[in-house]
Amino acid sequence: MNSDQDEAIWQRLSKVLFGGMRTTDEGLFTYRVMEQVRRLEPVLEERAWHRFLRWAVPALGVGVASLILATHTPASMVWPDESSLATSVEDF
Amino acid sequence: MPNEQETIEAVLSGDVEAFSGLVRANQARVRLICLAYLGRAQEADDAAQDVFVKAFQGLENFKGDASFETWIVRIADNHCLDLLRTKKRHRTESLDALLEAKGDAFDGLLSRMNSADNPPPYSPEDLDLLGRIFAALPEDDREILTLREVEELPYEEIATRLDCSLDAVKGRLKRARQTLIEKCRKFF
Repeated sequence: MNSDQDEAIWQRLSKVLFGGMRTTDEGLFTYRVMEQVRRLEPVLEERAWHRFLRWAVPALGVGVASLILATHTPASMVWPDESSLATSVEDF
Repeated sequence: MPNEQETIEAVLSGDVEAFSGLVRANQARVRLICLAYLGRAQEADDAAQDVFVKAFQGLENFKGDASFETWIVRIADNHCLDLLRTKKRHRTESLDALLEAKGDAFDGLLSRMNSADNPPPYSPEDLDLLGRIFAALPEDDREILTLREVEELPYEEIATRLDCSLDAVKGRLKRARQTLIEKCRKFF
């Protein structure tokens, strides 16, 4: 057996069996894939919306909570008057 | 022309049509892998379409560590193995009988593919013939040739996948190549 000859045969054979990087109907194939992909588009949009909601809702909650806290700061809250406390202590 | 990464970013940003560039660039490779696993051209094409749809659906998981081609080859490989788990492999004709019956077509394909530096595109008839040749190979030969020659996996990865030594991989590959050479010697 001539190994050089076999190597040459293998090179030609592998080019036929595994070497093709294009097809004559690649346009048709691509068209068919894209048809399926376009049908998925609404599903993906919905998925993207759910993904958005997953972080947007908690973020909105944090925002609202912050706003509430900001508008009800300790300064604006009514605390027991220090003088009334002193009076109560004196009375006691 | 946008590069691969730009194309992927465009698709992820909502430009669905940009995905067609990735399909066109990789379709021959993916179809060949599906052919090598499944044998029948129509079945392989259906599987190859599913592979691209899966890739589109999971594109946000593409990390970019390797090329898109490497990534989609892996998807194709897994998809075909899943298909083969759920259905029996088709009983096929022998390689000798096939090459006898389709000798002229194979000879023509040999001449065309070797007549230029850049191989011409495969026609649907070529793909059908290739699928039948892959299907006619002994199971062990088909497996090792698919992993090495079609998917172009490194020897180490094949050894891991087949749970055998590097030497065993090289030995199996050598035997598979030799079998094909012997069967096709009359065409050279």
